Amino acid sequence: MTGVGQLVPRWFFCGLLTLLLLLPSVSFALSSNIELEAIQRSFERDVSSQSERVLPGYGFLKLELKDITASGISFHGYAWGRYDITDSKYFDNQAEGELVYGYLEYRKKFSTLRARLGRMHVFEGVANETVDGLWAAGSVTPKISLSGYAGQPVGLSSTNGRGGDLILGGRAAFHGSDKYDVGVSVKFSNNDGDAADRLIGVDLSWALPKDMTLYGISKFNTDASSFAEHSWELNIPVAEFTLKPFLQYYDYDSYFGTGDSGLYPGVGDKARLPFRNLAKSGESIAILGLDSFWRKSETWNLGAKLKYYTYDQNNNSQYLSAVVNYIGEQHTQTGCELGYMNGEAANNNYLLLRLYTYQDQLPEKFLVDFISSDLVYALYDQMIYNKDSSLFLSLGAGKHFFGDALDLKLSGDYSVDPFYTSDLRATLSATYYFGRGR
Amino acid sequence: MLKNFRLLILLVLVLFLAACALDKGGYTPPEKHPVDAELPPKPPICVDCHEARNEDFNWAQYNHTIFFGQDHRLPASRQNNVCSMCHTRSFCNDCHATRVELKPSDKNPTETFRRMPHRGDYLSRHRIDGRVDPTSCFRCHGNPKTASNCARCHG
Repeated sequence: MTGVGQLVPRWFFCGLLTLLLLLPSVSFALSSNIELEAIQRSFERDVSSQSERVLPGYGFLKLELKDITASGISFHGYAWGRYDITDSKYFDNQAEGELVYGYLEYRKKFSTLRARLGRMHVFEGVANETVDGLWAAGSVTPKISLSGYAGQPVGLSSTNGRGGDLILGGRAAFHGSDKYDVGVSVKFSNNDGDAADRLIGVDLSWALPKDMTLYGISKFNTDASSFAEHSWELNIPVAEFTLKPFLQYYDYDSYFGTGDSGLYPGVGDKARLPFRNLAKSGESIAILGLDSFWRKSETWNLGAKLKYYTYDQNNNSQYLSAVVNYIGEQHTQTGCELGYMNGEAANNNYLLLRLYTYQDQLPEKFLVDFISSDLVYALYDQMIYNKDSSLFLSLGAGKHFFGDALDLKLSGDYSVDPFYTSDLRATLSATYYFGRGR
Repeated sequence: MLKNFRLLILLVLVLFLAACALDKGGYTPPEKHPVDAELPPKPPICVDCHEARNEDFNWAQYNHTIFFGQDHRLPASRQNNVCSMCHTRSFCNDCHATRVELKPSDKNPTETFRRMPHRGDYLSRHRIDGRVDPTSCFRCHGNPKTASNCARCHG
């Protein structure tokens, strides 16, 4: 496939296929979890000034092999590929694909020790990155845990290849009984030999009286010598209510940019597009907000969100939304969301209405096992391409076969909005879960 | 630079070996949520069964309240192995990945109960949301590969 031409993804695909071929011979000893999902989409788009039907077919493969050896080694892989049947030129390449993750994991039994080797997504304090490399974590005492990772950042592979790309970092955490957890994390990454990220973070979870919890993270950009982000929340449970006031602060120069790529002096490769102008803007934003949640009963939930945006240079903005949700058996849910953005900073406001339902407790006379629908309506204060509203409607249905081993789902979407006068899309998906339904 | 890289990899390995040697076993959540707890498919409120907090853990932060889908970043970045007790990695990586061409609401269009944020005509709304708070875009589209979709128009 065209987009899978890089060495490491090819390696992992080969590994994945090899494991699949070997699977029958070793399956007696393995606990495996294999899912294969095929998705066929259909829509029309203007390509080269004429409307063309686009028919991309997607394949997703998830593979988990547990207990490959008695010593606690397992394999986890997930990859996707896409082929545009009509070769419509809507996509840059007719075929595309990517290994999302593929790693061997070692997990010591009755222990906190874990290690991974391969491609994985790392969430560790300041890190939210896909890495080709090594990750390890464990507790050195009951109160102190460590984790670390090193390798090549996948997100930077699209600029001038992978030469000079590297990422490493980790997190050390102190667990103070039932009172607090405090962590210090670092992330250091280079793109083509130039600085991409230099971040140090401190995160805290602090248990306060009355079951309240204060938690959050602050990130310091050592390259810019200033704080990039503060995100802190206070969780306050009061009977069936939960209140969560929060404060976020971002310094654009530190948050969007770091390093010096030479191409964009003082900005860095990480912030190339579309954020590079923000990295030189001198702007900062503080967001003060409140999430409130009322669990009226096990079936009825209500929530409200308020966000107040203030800027160093721009006008203030506000967002307010309310959600009512009914939760039934299994996945059944029905709800309504109403939101209003007073977007002075964006010179525009919008009103958002969303109605949704998913019903999987249907009478037996229905031919399908579930139905779903979604309606999203947005009303804009100012015209966007001569339209002041968007309407999106989606209807779906699905059925399980072979004792839930096969799921078939069909969805039809219709949209009329500033970008499309009348857009009709269809999605058919089939997911097969190996080992289910036997 | 190469020397620094090797040194830091060495440091990671040393830390890992030290962790192996000093492994004293603090609390870590089990690999999977106990099956006999019969965790329902509906959004779980952890404190229905667990204490809000005990000496090991603060469970209240992981309650799947109505906004948890949008606001789980802070607890997940500290203890993402709590997430993996119930969710497979692929579930998380449908959104949190370096490059997945299908946005989550297009990959799972029938799962309307997730109230996925880019649903519908987000192309129009992102003009406003992006100007009001571009940090919310950058969190997921913040590297050259994940920003490749943005660069089609903003490039």
